[in-house]
Amino acid sequence: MKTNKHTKQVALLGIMGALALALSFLESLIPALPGLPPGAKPGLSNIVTMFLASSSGIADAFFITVLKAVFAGITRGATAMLMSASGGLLSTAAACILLRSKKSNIGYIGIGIICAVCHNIGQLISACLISGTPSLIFGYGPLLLIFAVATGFVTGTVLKTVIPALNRILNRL
Amino acid sequence: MQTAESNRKINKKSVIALAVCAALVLCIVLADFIKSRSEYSDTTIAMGTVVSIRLFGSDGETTATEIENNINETEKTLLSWREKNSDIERINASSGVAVSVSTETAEIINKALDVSRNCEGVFDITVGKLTKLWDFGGENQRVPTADEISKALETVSYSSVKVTDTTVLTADNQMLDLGAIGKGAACDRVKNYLDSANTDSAVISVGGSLLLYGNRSFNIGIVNPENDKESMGTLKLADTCVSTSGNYEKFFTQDNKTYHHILNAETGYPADSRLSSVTVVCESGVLSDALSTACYILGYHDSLALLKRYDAEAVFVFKDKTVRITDGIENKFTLTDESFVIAE
Amino acid sequence: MKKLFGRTDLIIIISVLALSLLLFIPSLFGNNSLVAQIIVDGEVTEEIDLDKIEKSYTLSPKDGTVIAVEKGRIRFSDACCKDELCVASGWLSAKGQTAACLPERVVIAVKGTDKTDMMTY
Repeated sequence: MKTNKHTKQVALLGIMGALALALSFLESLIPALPGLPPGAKPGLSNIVTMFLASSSGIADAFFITVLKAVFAGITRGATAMLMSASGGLLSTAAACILLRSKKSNIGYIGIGIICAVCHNIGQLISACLISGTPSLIFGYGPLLLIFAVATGFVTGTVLKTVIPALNRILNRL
Repeated sequence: MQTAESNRKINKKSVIALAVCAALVLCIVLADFIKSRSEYSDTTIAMGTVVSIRLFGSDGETTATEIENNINETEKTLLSWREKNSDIERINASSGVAVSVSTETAEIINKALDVSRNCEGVFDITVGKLTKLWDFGGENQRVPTADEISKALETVSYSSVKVTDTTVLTADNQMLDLGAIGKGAACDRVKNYLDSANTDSAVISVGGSLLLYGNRSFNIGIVNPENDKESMGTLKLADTCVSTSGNYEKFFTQDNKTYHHILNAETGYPADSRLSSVTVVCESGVLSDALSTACYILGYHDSLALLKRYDAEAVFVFKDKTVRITDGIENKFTLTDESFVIAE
Repeated sequence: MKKLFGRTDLIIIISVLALSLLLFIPSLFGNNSLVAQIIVDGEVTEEIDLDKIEKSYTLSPKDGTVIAVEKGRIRFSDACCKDELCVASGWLSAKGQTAACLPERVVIAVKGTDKTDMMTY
């Protein structure tokens, strides 16, 4: 039975990994949005890490986050990898804390927004480092935050619908 | 949530393992990234012109020094007709005898001759006698007499230059002037050098002729012909060479008439053009230099076929402040000075 | 099970938007800092923050060249060479501009936060 569980976990990670990469790829097709730093993306693949953080485990969530960064590194170079890792790790950490906390009364939309904000802040910090211009925080920051509210709203709503459904499937496996 | 419960047990160790892995990966990326992003810039004078260097990569300072050496070397050994024993000086001193030169010089001359053949000789490196006569920017700049010009024109003929891999033969009395392509030649040499250096990306200006090296894209300002302190537009480009020819670079006024330095090698007089400048984007520095001069003389319509032949792109700025851009770089151009208009 | 949206979420949205506004404020006061480098024989001998100049002054980095500095701009004001091309360059007041006195090997280069990386001319 134990091996079975282990197999289940591997299979789950495989599916989720594939899903995260597919979403990352999908995002990379979106052209650079005006006013946003190059490489800043909506973070749709965050849905995957957030689901894992809530239903599977912290390690799984971080594993997929690193996988995403490596994928970005292989396909789009070191800069993209750093952008993905800095945004991803920060937002996954936030997701783990918020989704696993029993006491917090923040709803899915709030969590989605906070994760998106963390994701964008992480990316912004690395963008500042990459270009060597800290003033980017003021140039890009305001729009990125508004952008984060919008995408966080979407991811939060998706999570609310998806998590119960996926959990049912997980338990039936 | 049985799955989550049991997973948590397995995961304690793997969390640590993963965290270590992630940290390691991050460190490697960060190191690589710091290396690739450390910037070094320098402005200096080489080859009698202002050289600006911006490097992204490691060993910035030594690389910059090497770049300057390469540029100076280009002038000393290859191009300057003032330098004793440069290839060009020896060619010009020879009279009807083949001179052995470096393969680099032979290649540069070959490229220039090729452009001459394709533009019906309006651009020609055998104009040495002619440019000496006008002496733009020199102490004796003046309008030569018609007689002097027709005499000098007799020596202008790219077809009498014969080049092999290691020798160059010019007609008696003929003088080469590589002034129009010297900066581009320096860019090409620097590009070769950078292939062996620890530089990821760089942008180097040799007196306004630019080498863009590596994958990083740079915003290149095209100078406003009416005010050489401002740009009239920008081009976002990577991994190429850029060169501009304009009537504002060197000129003088005599008897209320202004004469600029871009001579039509067919007529012997400054090119009568509706253009104020042409900026050419091409993978080779020598070619972009040569093409920008040729296109300036040819004018917009006759230039298009020439550019196509060399897979080059260009921005034409007309005297009436209209701008035309070739299709290949149309979406990379941004107008920054509203007093200019992009023509339909 | 967590809820979808609550009072806390509203507070989060409002505070994120407020932070966004706060970050936007400095952009209203455009501070395009301009730094002029004076380069003699290839060495940067002086860096002048042109925005912080209160009183105009002149300096002579090398015999034969005089540079005038004012708030937001800088120029060669006198040179011993014959053509005085450097003086003819006039005031430099934007990033990427350079003026050079070739005979004396003195260059003024203005750096700043403008968008152009290099000029072609």
